[in-house]
Amino acid sequence: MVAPSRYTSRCAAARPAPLLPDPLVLFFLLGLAARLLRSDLRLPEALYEALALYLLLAIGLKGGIELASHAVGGLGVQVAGVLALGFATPLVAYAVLRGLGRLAGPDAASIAGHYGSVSVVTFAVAAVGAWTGPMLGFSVGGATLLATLAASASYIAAPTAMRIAIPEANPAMSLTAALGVTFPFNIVVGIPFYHRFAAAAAA
Amino acid sequence: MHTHPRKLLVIIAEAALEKPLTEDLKRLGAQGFTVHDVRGGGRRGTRAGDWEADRSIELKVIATEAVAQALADHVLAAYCPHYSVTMFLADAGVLRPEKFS
Repeated sequence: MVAPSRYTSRCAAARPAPLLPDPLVLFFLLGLAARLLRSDLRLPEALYEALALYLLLAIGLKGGIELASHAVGGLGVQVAGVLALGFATPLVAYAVLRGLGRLAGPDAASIAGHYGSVSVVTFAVAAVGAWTGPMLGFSVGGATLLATLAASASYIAAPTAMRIAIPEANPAMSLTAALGVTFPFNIVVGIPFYHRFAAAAAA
Repeated sequence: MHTHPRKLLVIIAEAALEKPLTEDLKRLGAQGFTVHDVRGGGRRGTRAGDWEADRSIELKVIATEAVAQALADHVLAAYCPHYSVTMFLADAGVLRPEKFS
C-alpha cells in the first residue's frame, strides 16, 4: 500500500484546498515555460531512461503486491473486460477519425494505434492518486485508472512501432494528438474529471 | 601502402529504421556496419533527439561498389518516400579486402 500522505491522497474526497497546484502540474508548466523561452534546459539522457525504468518497476511492484492480495480466479472476468477494452479502443478511435475526422486511412490507423496503447506516465500519475482504493475492483480508484488507461495515448513506444507499421502515416498528426493535446489534458483536467465521474457513478 | 578500393555508404535516418536497415544490409551482402546516435536538421526542420520519436542514427557500411549500390537503391525505393533519409557514397581504401566483400 502507498503510505497515505498529503500527496498520495490527492484524489481523496474531502480535503482542504492546497496552497500550490499539484507538483506534477507545476513541472508541466516549467517544461512549457522552458520551451517558450527557448531555454536549453535538458535532463541528462541517463536520468530520463532511469526514471522510465523506475516508473515501470514501481507500477509492476505495486500492482503485483495488490494482485497477490486478491484471489487470482476472481479477477478473470475483470482481466478479460480490460483486455476487450484494449482491443476496442483503437477500433472505435479509427472509425471516429475516419468518419468524423475525415482523416486518410494511414493517419487514422496510426493515431488510433497511439490511443490503443497506454501512456505509462499518464497511468502512473493516475495510479499515485487512485491506488488508495482496492485495485481493479472497479471501485472508484479502479474505475479512475481504467478510464485513464482508455483515454491516454502512448508517445514513447507507439510512435516507433507505428513508424515501422504504417510508413505512410504523418507522425506529426499522431504525436501532436498524443503528446501535445492528450497528455496535458489528462494530467490537468482528465484524471480529476474521471475520478469525479467514477465517484458520481458509484454513489 | 597498398589499399583496395571499396565504397563507404553513409545513411542518416530515423532511429526507427535501424533494425530494418541492418537486416537489409546483411541480406544484400554487406559483412559489417557501424551505427551512431546523431542529431541534426535540414529543410524539413530539426531532429534534436530529445525523445524516442525524435531520434536519428547514422549507419556506415563499407562494401564493394555492387553491394553498396544495391543497398542504396533499396533504401531509395523502400524508405525514402516516407522516412527522413540522407544518404551518400564515398570512395574508401581498405587494407584487408576480405572483410568488405
